[in-house]
Amino acid sequence: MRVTENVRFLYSSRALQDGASRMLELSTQIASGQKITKPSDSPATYSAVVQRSDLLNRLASRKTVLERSASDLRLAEGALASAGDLLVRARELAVQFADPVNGQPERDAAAKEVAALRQQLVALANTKGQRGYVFAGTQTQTPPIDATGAFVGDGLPLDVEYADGQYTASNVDGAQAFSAAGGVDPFALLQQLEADLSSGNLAAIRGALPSLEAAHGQVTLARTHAGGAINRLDSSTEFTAKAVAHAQSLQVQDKQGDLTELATEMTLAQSAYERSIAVTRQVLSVASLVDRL
Amino acid sequence: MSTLLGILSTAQSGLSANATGISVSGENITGANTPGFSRRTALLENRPLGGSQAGGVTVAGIQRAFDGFAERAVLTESGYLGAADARAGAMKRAEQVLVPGDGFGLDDRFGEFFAAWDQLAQKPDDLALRRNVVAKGEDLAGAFNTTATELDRLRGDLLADAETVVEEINVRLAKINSLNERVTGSPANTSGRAELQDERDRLIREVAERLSVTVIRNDNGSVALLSSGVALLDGGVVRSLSVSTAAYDPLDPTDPRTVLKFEATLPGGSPRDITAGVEGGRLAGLREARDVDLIALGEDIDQLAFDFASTANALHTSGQDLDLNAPPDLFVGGLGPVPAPPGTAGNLAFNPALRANLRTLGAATAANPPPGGNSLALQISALQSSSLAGLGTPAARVAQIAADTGNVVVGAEGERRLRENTMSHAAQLREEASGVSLDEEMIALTRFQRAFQASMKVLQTADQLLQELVQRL
Repeated sequence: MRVTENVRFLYSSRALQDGASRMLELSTQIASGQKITKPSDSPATYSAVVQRSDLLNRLASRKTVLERSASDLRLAEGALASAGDLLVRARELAVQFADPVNGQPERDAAAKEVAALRQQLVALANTKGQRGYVFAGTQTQTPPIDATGAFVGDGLPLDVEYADGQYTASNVDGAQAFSAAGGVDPFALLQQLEADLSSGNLAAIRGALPSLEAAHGQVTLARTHAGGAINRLDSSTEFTAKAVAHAQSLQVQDKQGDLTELATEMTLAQSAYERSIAVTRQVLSVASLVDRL
Repeated sequence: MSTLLGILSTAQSGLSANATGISVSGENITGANTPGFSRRTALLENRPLGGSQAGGVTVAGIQRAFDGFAERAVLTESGYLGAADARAGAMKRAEQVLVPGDGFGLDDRFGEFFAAWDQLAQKPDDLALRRNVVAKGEDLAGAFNTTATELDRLRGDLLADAETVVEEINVRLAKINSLNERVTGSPANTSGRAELQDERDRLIREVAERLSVTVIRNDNGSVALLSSGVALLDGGVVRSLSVSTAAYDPLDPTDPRTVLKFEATLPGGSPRDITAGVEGGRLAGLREARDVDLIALGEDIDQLAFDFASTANALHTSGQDLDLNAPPDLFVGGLGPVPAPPGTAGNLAFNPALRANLRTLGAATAANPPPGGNSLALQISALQSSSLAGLGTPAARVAQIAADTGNVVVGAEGERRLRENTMSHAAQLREEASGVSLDEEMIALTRFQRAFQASMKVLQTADQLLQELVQRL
């Protein structure tokens, strides 16, 4: 093999270029903290990063939705608890004033209290959350109980996705809790109780007791459903948060790479580059006949 | 007397021949680092006896070191390297179009669009949330438009690159033709001819890097260049190379895509299409990137835009808007419906009617009616995790498109590195045959110097003898 001047420097020059290029690549990765910045860095990993990024967006959005939905459900549960308390109080009044020992003036006072309880119950049934009236079904912009005490909502569910393709209602069926659809119309019942108290119809007052218990039962049942939904949303939120943390950890690992590994690669690249420099220096310092003649 | 005069003549021939040798070594030393320089050798031979000449030495010529095999290897590898380098460069630019920066890609726009629907599902009658869906829909359509436009622009740039390369080739072909004339007109085995041949071979290598060529070396010293079986240069006639565009699908007049078309034309002649034979050189790489890789990439993006827009439109129009009416299409194509590929991504638009009247955006269905019904919003949001046309979720398809492009870049870069290595080997082969070794030249220089000094001694000796002879007469 003839060794010419160009051949002598060709390989040294290429080795230096390759070494410098590799060092620049690694130092950029270490400095930026990003091992994967474009598809060609690692097509398979980049694809995984994009899809995981989508998953993270989806999970983050779902977590927010679940938390907001649970917030409205808690509001509904609180309203149902208060409604239950109102009905308990109404029953207490019915029990107390069904007794003939009370005079009509006391029953009139009780009738007024029942009327107030009914108004409070209307206010509770028309509770507004972040999405509108929480017991109105899909008619979120209309109070579900109108001035006459009639239920004008639709009792339809407002779903929320708690897992891929899995939905659960994020509202309480107001029709079941506050209308005859649940068995007893509590507003009509309280209105009748108020009238019976005002008229002193003791038999009717006594007769209302089972209905009041049933009304309390249907509100309590609705509250139980709300509680179950809250638990479901809370556990889904917790699971989603864990899934987010796991996906984030994998994402960081894929995008940033292992810093120790990168540092080791950098050391190896630096060592190779220094060897190339040493060899080039040696090649350049080799004496030739030019120096001797 | 005649013998002594013969010695003087012999010594003079030695001086002259060795001076030429020193001169040739000097040329080699000074040309050692000149690109394309080929080592020369002074060919010394005995001067024939006869007449007043008594032997001696003469320079038969200056031989240029040339290895046809090594030169062909360099030309071939130059073509491969040029093609790989052009393709890798083009596809790196395509990669930047797909991934303009962290958080600016199609995948991010999809994520924001679906998140907007998630939020709307929480409060379907909220006009601010409806406006947000419209804005994110416009952003998504805009991202498709930008990607398609940038890819089109890149294909336009590659056409311009090809035009530049073609012009460079034409300039070099003209110069090679001119050098052909000068080489054939110059005496054989001279430094002058070697210099012209070096320059011509350097230009041929520059042509080969741009377009694969076959070189035929004629006995008279001229060369002919062929590409795709067509003589680009032969017998003093140069075919002019040109590049234009032709329809990608000649059977479909609505398809706006074009492919590169290369033609070689004789002066006053009709053009000959050499496109199919352009398999090496930068032109081949540009053609591969523009007419194969980028068209495939554009088709994938168009198909994704079409599948997504069609699915979203079908869902949206099946629902109910805030006024219980069937909502219009979410996405349109300019002034009409979403066009089928090709051209879908570039023409995709979020329906402007929805921005004009936010109440017409559907979020509910007849079974789950407005204003609070959110089942349609949930269905559209669920597209994020649904397979579009059985080919994967929107994010998976974006990821696949990016990964495919990444694989092309990796493959092209790998090919470029491979060709750099093979080119390096070919260049070394050529260097071994034609390059200059300073050690060799130092030895040759010393050899010629000593021979020159010895010839001078002979001359001095003959001169002294002649003087003594003259004095004694």
